[in-house]
Amino acid sequence: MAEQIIPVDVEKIMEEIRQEIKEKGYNDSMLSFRDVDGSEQLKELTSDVFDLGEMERVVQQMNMRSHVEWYHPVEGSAFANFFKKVIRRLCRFMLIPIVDHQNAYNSSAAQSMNQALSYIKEQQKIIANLEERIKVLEDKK
Amino acid sequence: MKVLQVLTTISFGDAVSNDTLALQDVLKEMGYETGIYAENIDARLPKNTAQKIQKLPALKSQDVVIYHLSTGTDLNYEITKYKARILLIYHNVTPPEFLAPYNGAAARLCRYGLDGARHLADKVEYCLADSEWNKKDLQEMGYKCPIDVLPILIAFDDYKKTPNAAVIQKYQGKGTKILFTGRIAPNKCHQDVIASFACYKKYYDPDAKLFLVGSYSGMEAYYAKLLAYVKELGVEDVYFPGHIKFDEILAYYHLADVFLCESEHEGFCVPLVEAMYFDVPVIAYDSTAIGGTLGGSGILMKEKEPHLVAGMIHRLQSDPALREQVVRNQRIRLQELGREPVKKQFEDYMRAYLKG
Repeated sequence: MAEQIIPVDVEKIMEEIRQEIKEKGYNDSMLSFRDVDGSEQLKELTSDVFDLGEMERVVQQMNMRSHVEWYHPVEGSAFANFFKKVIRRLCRFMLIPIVDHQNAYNSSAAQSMNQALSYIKEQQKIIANLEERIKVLEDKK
Repeated sequence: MKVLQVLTTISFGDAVSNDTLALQDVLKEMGYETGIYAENIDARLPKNTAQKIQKLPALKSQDVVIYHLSTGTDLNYEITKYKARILLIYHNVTPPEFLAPYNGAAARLCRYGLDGARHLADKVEYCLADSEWNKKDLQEMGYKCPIDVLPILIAFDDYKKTPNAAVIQKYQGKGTKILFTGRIAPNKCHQDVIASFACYKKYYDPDAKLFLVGSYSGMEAYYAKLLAYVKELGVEDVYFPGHIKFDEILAYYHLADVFLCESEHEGFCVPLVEAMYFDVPVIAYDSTAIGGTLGGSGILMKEKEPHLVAGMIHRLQSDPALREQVVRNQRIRLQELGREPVKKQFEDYMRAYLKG
């Protein structure tokens, strides 16, 4: 037979904790989150603070969205479909070169950001190694 | 017959994407011609994992589109234009009122998502919801079609990977390590976790550490307020590692003594299952889908007064029998959420749906 969950009597434990809190006088009131103003921290966050994780995330987003499709499937009734297809065919000569240009630009922009990200990571590794060496040398002194 | 999955973004590591990928394997095993189509595809995914939605092949009326709904997108409206049967998998959408004070655009996106979900109410013929909570949500939005509950299919094999040694080395040592994972977002109420931690550190364990793992991108204003809260409470050892690599996330689970969740809105909450996997006892506030995901395991609290939560953490840390019972219960629950039972459930649902 499969093992069954034996429920924990949470209410009983909570009652014991309530009693303990009362006895020990743990009754300090907590600062309300509503009364906190984070504007100073927000200013710091949105200024010149570099966050590698955040950069990786946005570069991934950029990679994901860098390619634009010119072709979009049409859906709807047969009658509407026909007209949409005709319009798509008529616009094709204009849309494809524009989208190609945009994709070429997007690809270069994405590649340069990926390069920048790789460079930062590489530099961070080098700095970490150098810091380690400095620490070892200083300890030897 | 084709059974295709459609979603707005397929990415690396998020719950909806992982669920989609896991279901893809099951659909293949079931012998269907299948594929994943998305508006945005993460470049880190192996080539041909998914294709752009524009590449969706012509569909016949007996084909099936499994549509994953989790956010605001035009797809919520366009999906019904495909001439196929539509099966909706509802992962829930964060209520916009949580986000509005911090990010208007994100709140609008969620509102658009909920409008989209309502729009689909009479247009899909069958739904799968991650939790009973999500099912109830759909019913309240006016869905009259059959709805079954299917937990998120989790790729547990990923958790067997080696955790990041540097993180473990940095934080191991004395002091209770309390963990909460999930993006930094107001519906997850990180402020309540911080308040509980402040009490715990003050009255029970001055060496305790709190790790709030998750990206704050898009929620900078909320994150800034959390930082200010930590500062004004004067509580030390609260760490926000931010958006980190998977092996680093694993390291925090390996380090953790307690997983503390005080979220007020979850459609399923995968981190609870992750904590179960790593035998980290869970203390969670009973809201939305949390009780359903815990399924009687963990410690589910009806209130989250900080002193009370702190006392519960202390009880868990000082009572080995209680800790053992909680972990044992979580192991049992984890078996129900394992790949095989969830896979079988999905197969049964699919067969019944396709027969109907």
